Parts: sequence; C-alpha cells; structure tokens
Amino acid sequence: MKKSLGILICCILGGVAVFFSYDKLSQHLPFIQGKSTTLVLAELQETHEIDKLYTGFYMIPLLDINKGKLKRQIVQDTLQAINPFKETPQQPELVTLGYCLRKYAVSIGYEDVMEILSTDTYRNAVCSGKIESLPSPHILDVNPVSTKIEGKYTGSCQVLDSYSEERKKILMQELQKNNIAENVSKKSKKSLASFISLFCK
Amino acid sequence: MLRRICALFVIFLCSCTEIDNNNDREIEKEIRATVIKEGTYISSLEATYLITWTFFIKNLIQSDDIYIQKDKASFKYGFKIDENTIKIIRKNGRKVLQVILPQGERVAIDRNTLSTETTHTGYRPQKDGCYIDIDQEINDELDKIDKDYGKEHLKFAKENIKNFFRVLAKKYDLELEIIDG
Repeated sequence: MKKSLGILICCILGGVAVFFSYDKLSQHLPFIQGKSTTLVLAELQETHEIDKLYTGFYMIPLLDINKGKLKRQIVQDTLQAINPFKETPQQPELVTLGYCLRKYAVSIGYEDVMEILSTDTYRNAVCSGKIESLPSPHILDVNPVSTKIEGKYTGSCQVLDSYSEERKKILMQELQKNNIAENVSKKSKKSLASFISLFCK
Repeated sequence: MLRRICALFVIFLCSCTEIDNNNDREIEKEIRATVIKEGTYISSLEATYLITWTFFIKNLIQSDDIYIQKDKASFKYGFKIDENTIKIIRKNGRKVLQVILPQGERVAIDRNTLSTETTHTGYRPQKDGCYIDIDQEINDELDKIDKDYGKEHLKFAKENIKNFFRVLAKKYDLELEIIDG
C-alpha cells in the first residue's frame, strides 16, 4: 500500500516536473525542438511585421541642358560669312547656355521581403553561398526635391514627373552612369542575404 | 520514502533551472555570433548623394556665365551594435531577447568631384567680388540633405535591424524588446 502510494506520488510529481520544464527540455531534445523555418515564416506572414527592406538612399540630380554657340562665336561666324577671303570655318564648340536642374530623393530596396524569404530557391542560394542569384533591388520611392531653371532653357524637364515608370528608368540610368548601380545591387543583395541566412541550418 | 521522492523532485527542478540558465546563455551566444556574422549589412544603410552645384550669372555683352560641378558623396547611416548589449532575460515568465540600440550615427565614406563645366574657359564663380568656395557650398548642401533626410534614413536602418531581430526572436521562440540606448 505504502509502495503504491509512493509510485503514485512519484508519477504525479514527475508529471508536474515535466509540465513545468517542457520548455527547458524541448531545447535539448531534438524531436521536440523549437520552430521550423515554415512555422517561423508563417508566423511572420501572419503578423505582417516585415514588409519592405530599404537598402540604400540616393540624391539624384537630373540636369537637362540646352547647348549653343557663344555670342562671340556668332559674331565671328557672321564676320566669316561676309568675308570674301574666308577660310573653311571650323566646327565651333557648343557650350551650355541654359539648364533645368531637378533633384530627386530616391530609396532603393525590396518591396515584398516575406515573399523572397519564403522562396526556396533564394534560401537555397544563400545557404550555399550563391547570393548573386538573388533578385536585384529596385526603386521603392521617388520624391522630387527641387527644380532650378536658368539661362536659355527651352526644354520641358518637369514633364518627366507625369511618367513615373519612365522617371524610374531615367533615374536608374543615372545611377548606372555614375557607376553606382552595380555597387547598389551588390550591397542590397548582401543585406537581403543577411536576412535569408537566418533560415539556414 | 516520501521524503526521498520530494528531495529528488527538488533536485530535478533545480537542475532544470540550471539547464535553463545554461541554455539561455547558449542561445545568447548563438544569437550574438549570428549578429557579428550577418548583422554588418543590416545595421547600416548607405546613402549616396550626387550633387550638381550650378552657378549662373547673366551678362550684358558677352554670353551668360554658367558653372556646373558634379560631386559624389557617400555616407553610412546606422547603429553600431555591441553584441554585449544583446541579452536573453526573463520577464513575467517569458523569455525575452533584449537588444539595446545605441544612438544612430552618420559616417562619411568618401567624396569626390566627378566633373566641372564652364561656359567660358577658366571661369570661376564670384560673389561680391570674391571667389566662391565651391567646396564649402557643396558641404553646406550635403549638410542640408542630411538635416532633411538623415532622420528618415536612420528610421529605416532601425526598422531593418528590428526586422532582423524579429526573425531571430521568432526562430528561438523569444519575445523581442528593443531599447533605445
């Protein structure tokens, strides 16, 4: 009788102990261990906590210029034209006579991080060290900062703001022209890879 | 007999607490190692400012004077995370990943002039009879950009860090607490 009471108490205390120490035990026993990648992703998706990933900011000026001849060149050309002993005129160098300077604040990164995190191909690529196959970043936001028009400018630089896709294309080209685009892409992929690597085993 | 069982139970619970503490430290170590390895690119954002500084003077007789200088300056906006400020603590019976973030900062990386262009060869912009310090003008413009956008850049850098730690906390089944240092 005394023995069976002892076993019963032992079982109850054992049960209570396992109940309260489940968390602790679970971290040591592989078969009941933590959360799987799928579960972590599902939880993150549910809470909508992670949205965009900003990887860089750029101030990009777009300079639209009107070129033409200097006044003195026009005088020289006129004199040359009425000169009966004229030599073959040289092609004059054209200079900037007027310009429109537009400045844009541009942010670059990834729109839907959760979708990328949930893609097996990208995860496998990062986990095997091939981050170059990650998607390239793109322009997330464009904000016109200022416009300055000076001199003899006859263009219509502000029209560009009516075509957002065309504007993005031109701003991206500007980054490429100044050898920034490649660097942007490389660093953005590294930032994204840092996130994805958290899911590597 | 009963006394022995109770003693065993107490020892079991004590050893569990000890395992638990050791386990917290293990996870803490693992998280710190991950932050050291992967956190570099997440803890800061790079900002590149292309500056086109222009100067225009209208002339009566000769053509107007125009000066255009293009510069490129890069900065890093972010937080220097000290791994020692990443801790696992207990709060109301829950395990919490506590991260103390220092003040955000801007670090200049580089700056260089890409090109200059003038209407008249050798022209240097002047104001009130003195040559303009173009370098200073560009620095002032960079400071203005920083004043207008710096805080926003730091906000996004902070959001990236938060997201990084959100994933880490979820992975180890911890709650997350980010404290501004």
